[in-house]
Amino acid sequence: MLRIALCDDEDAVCSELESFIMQACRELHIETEIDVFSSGSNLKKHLISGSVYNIFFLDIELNDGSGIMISDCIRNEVNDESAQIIYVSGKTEYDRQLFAFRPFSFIEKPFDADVIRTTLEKYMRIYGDKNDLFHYKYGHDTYWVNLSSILYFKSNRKLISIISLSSKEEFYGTMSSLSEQLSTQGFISPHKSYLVNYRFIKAFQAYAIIMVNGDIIPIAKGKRDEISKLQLRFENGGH
Amino acid sequence: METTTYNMIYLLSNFFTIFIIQRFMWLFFSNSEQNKLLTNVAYTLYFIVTSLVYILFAVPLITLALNCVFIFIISLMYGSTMKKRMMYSTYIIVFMLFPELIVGAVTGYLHFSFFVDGCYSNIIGIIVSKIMMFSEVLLLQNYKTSREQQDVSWNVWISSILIPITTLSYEIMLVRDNDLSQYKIILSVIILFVINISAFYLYDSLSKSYVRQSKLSILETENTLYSKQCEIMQSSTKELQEFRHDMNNQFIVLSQLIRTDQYEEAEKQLSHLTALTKSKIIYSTSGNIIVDGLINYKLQNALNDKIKVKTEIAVPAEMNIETTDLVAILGNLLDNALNALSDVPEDRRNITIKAVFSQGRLIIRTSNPYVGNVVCNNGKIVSSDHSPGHHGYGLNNIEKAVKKYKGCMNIDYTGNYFTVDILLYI
Repeated sequence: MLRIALCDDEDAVCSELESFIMQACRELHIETEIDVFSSGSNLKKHLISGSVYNIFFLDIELNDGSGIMISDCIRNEVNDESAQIIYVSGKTEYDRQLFAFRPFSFIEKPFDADVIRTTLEKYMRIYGDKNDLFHYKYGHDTYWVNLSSILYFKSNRKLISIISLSSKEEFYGTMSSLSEQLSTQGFISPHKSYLVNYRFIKAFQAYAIIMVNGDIIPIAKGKRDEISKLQLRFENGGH
Repeated sequence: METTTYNMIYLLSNFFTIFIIQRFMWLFFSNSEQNKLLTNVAYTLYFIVTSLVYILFAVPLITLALNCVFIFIISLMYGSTMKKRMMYSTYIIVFMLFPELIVGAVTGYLHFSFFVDGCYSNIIGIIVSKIMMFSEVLLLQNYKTSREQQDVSWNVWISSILIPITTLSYEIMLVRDNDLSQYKIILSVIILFVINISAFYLYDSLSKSYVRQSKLSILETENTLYSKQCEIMQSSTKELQEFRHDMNNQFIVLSQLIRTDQYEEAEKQLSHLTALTKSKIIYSTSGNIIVDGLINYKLQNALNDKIKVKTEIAVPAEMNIETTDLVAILGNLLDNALNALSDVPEDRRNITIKAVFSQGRLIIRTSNPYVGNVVCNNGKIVSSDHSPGHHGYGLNNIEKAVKKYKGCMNIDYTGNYFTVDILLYI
């Protein structure tokens, strides 16, 4: 189930966008739940009270504040680094600040059903529609952790660490089976000892990946080309 | 008499060595002198101490040790880390030792002892070894320039070897074949060193002016794009006014239709209006003058040529990419696409342009239909058979720029669409 929040102060814009999203989700067989907010402060209230969404469609220029204010709330107040932000705007000139919130994409008004569809397609291509829990065994006990809270896995021989924003867990397993299991859910493998969650990447460099918590993951020399090509496939689609 | 001449030549060559060491330091530490006065003092001390010690003791090992110490001291005058200083000082010593060993070997002095008073006193030998060191610096400098900025032309490569070698051969002929007086030998050595030093300065200022010129040409490209962008904006303002006038009329018709309950007709009118707002002549308004300028300029005839344009442009006004590289990539991609589209029947003409900045990457895509076959040679695309030679050339330039940013390029030409995807780390 994909939880989507829309925020625009024009009701007509909201309902048009909502219907385009619903149409695209039907075509792409995505199960979804959409919440519509007609003001930034309203959305902010919901966020602070604990509502969590996978995708935000945010108008950049709102009457009561801006997309920047809400993005700041998402990333810095409620510390949701995993949600994907899509900016909606009549303008196509974007403030440098917006890029710092790691937007998933930008959508121009007036809307084009095709653009909304390809944007959701891109989301599915990278993250898939499963919002799975990750189960692992340690000793005799089975534990679970939400996949969308895992920054990356790091292996030291058979011992695998699960690094998330606030914790570090460990279990015994192999990286190759893990990588196979998670490759369709937004995890990439830049190095034989690392499996990285794409949604938590702050910056991509030629030789390293920088995570939102500042951790630096090396890209193995033999994998650089593969990782660049994978990014192109994620971002642009195609082969 | 012979010894004095030799000592004089030694002093001269030692003076020239200062110049060589300075060049080495500039090469490795990129001209990051911290205190000019202190640096000059270090060089002067080097000259005085090594000269004195040589004349007084002339033991190769002491000279070598002194050189090591002083080169390291001099390296302290340049801004860098200790690790780098140690490494580069060692490099410099090796580069300076190498010609002396070769010259020693060739002139038959290889078996000299490190510990006894060196009996090596060959005027030609000492000059040859210094000129060789000098050539080393020149070649390293060329190599560095060619790696950092642009190709160093063959003329420069050849002249940086030719000038030292020709002056050196001349000097050798002069000293060997004529029974010159001490005074004349010293003078000729001075002239030799002066020619080489000034040639180096000449080469230096030439390369500086070359860099300046290439910067100027970047500015020129930027200016052209700016003025094109202005022209396009001007014409679009006019168009916008006409459009507004037209819109007002359309609204009157629309409200008339609604008033008379002709809703179906009104809806038709509305969708027509929406289509109108989308047909625009400005395709990129990101605020990034290079991206906007290039796309709007290259696509200014798209409407007339019946090309449907789809864009996704999301870039900040400033990006950490050199204008020339961006122009090379985007300009060539657009040229190639438009060129291919000119052969495509009008009803199928369309182009998708994407330029998105995200998380330290610039992601670009152009995609367009094409007719004919794509011609490949060794896995590289040479051309499409409708426009021979064109594609390959542009793609080469793009590839070069992509390599510079350690990015990657993907070309796909299946299904009658030619799609180029590019990723740059910026």
